Amino acid sequence: MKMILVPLDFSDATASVVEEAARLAKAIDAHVILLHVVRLLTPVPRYSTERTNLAEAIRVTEAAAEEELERTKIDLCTRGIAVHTLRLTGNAATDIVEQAEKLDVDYIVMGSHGHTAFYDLVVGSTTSAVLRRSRRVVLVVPAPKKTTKSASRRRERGPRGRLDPQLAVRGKRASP
Amino acid sequence: MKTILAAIDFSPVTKAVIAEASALARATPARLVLLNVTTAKSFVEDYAALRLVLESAEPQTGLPPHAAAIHGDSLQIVGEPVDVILDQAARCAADYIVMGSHGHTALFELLVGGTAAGVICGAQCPVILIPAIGRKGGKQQGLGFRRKDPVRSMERAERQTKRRTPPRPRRPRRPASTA
Repeated sequence: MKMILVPLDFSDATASVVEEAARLAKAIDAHVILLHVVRLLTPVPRYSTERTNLAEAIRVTEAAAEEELERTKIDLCTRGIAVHTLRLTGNAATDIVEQAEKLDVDYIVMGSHGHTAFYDLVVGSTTSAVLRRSRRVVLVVPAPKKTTKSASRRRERGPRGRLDPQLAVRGKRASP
Repeated sequence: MKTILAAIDFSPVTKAVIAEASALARATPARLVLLNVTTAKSFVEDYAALRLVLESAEPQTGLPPHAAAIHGDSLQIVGEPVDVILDQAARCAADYIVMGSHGHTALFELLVGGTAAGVICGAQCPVILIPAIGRKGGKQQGLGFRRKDPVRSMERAERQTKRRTPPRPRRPRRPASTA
């Protein structure tokens, strides 16, 4: 049985990535593994209370991610595709490459952008890292077309619409 | 009928690209268009090679031609690889572009082959990237060592700060197989 690993970040690109994975799974009669990697925060260790809150915040995010994965799974199951879900916490690119090897998948289906494309505006940083490291066949789904205005706004903001502090600061300064 | 555009450059990846593209063409099913973009200099040799690949594409599927049922086309165009691939993909309304992720003049491009990166950026359809074979994965593969559960290690760090005992110094990692 063939397997398709689909890393999701629940950004704008996710819908078209899931759609494309479903199409491929139908065509080659494959199982789909939905994967979400919860990103770890990098705290400055000063107070132990901060740490407790961070662990709690990650747990909440994990629960939300699992819910979201389950929703996507049900959506695909109704279309007659065998789906498994997997939720991890850590570094997205590393975990995707590792799981692809461990599960011996045939394809990785990813979006070209949207995977925390803060710095790499050309290709998402996660996607480019996976392309660089993985020995699997990667299907890159083009990002949904956007108007230039919202695209530039997206560049300023993170994948969930949060303002990325580093980029915001960089934008304000006239020269570094 | 869908269309798959396979961009080939006769590098070591080409065989895998054609195998993948023809497998997908059979499964979908789709029309397979082989595209080779070349510079004027290497035109003649590449054309001979393209004929050879085309002739061998059918037997590679391991099925008799009528069972494999891959309808195909082949193109050889002189020009800038990224532009030509994108132009041809638009022209034949490709549903997939299949190509090698490296090896497309990737001697200087350390990240992703320049051609592959350009095609990903400009493509309107999904791009299937075949990894180069025989590449040294080495350390980058990130396997073979155990990874910790990050939340658990965070909790452990928390406990350690409460105990106020400095964490034991780690043994320096020995370099892998110096022998």
